[in-house]
Amino acid sequence: MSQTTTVRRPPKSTWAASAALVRVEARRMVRHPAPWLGMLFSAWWVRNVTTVDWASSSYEGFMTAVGPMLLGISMASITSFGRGRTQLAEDAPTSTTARAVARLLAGWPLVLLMGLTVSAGAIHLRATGGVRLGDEPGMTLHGHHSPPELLQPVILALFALALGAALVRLLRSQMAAHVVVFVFWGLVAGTYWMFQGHVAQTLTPLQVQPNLVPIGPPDTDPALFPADWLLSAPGEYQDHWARLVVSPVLAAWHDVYLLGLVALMAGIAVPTHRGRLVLASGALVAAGAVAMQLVVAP
Amino acid sequence: MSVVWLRPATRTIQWRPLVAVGALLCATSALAAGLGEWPVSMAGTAAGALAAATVAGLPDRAGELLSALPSSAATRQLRRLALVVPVAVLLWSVYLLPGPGLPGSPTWSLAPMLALLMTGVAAFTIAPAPWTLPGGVALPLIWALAARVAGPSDGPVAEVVLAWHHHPWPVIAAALTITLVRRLS
Repeated sequence: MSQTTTVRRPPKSTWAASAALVRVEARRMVRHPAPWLGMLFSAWWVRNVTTVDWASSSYEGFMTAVGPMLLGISMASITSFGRGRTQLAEDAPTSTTARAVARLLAGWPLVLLMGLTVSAGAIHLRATGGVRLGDEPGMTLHGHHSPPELLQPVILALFALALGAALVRLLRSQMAAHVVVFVFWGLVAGTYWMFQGHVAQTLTPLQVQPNLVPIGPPDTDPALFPADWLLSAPGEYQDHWARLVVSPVLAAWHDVYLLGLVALMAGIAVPTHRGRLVLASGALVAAGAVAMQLVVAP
Repeated sequence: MSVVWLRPATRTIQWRPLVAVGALLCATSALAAGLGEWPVSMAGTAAGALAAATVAGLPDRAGELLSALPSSAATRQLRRLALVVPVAVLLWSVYLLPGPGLPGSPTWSLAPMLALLMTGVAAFTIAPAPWTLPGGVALPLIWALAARVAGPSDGPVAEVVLAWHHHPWPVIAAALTITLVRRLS
């Protein structure tokens, strides 16, 4: 009796293969050391932020401390997309687009990790009363970040994933992409104060509030300002009295801008006609959101 | 002295990381010059990135194939170093060029960048396969990031993470010793 061998045809739909790739890459991204090391460095950053004391040091520091974690997420994404550049990947039963989309979706555990970290931080601040914001006589010890501001690191995690993917495609070298993201996040988070100008704060991925609105020369009596204003006193880096303004509307439009940037980067990472459409719509959304930020900025 | 090795050695180097980082740093420097303000605390990040990009250029992709040649792996690595290090030094000098005239610019020299670079080379030399390249690239990045994150309250820990900046020459000497001992053993 002869034995019959049945050869199964590859499935017509690429969903199964894509879903398998999402699962595999998600597991690998979670095992990548960079996001966890980044988390450790972020925790260290937060600890040091609380030891510095000026009008909005803690408020700003809690936001910039996510920098190392974002760097780690970008690096994990670069490693994942770098794997996709091997010759063997071309023989996979899925298209380039499907593979790129699957790798982007595989980053969901890292976005979730960022969401959980930010939530834990916000709950901790609520429980402990908040952070200092302002100088005497216009000061509070119960400053809390607004919901659009808290959403920013989560969208930035999406952006970090897409940025890593786009850089691997543009530079065609994993190592080059790793070092470039190191400089990028070092610049964006490590020297964030350079991007706090009226226009620069709308364009930088990491927008750090409060805004400083000049209200008077250094010899002004601060008691003359309205009692409910949060103030920043003249000092080493500021030769006037300023009002600290946190604008949730500005932060919300910045979140929209970041979503546009995510689409733009994803469009670069997916080298097809659909990718170009995503890129163009991302650029439009980002441009519109920048315009709206300029309108609502204090 | 024969320089016939120059062309093949140049071709084996992966220049892309160094070119990408060099371009980014030069753009940052030009932007700083344009704005008239030096990015304080960016120099450590730049030094780490440049050191890592230089180490990323070192792997010999044809190492297995060339192992039968009379020039040893150590000689070939030395030649690649002789080619990439001057480029890194040149890029670092270009990056620092507008610094002295700008407010907030630190008094940075070549030594801290070289300390991170030699640390990366030492890690690249002693790390077991397949961790040679990731180890050599990651160490300067991690050390530079730690120095950026460390605060004044960290005491002895801050001293250690800032050693490449505050005491670069002992770090260079230690890294060089490790590299040579590993290569000669």
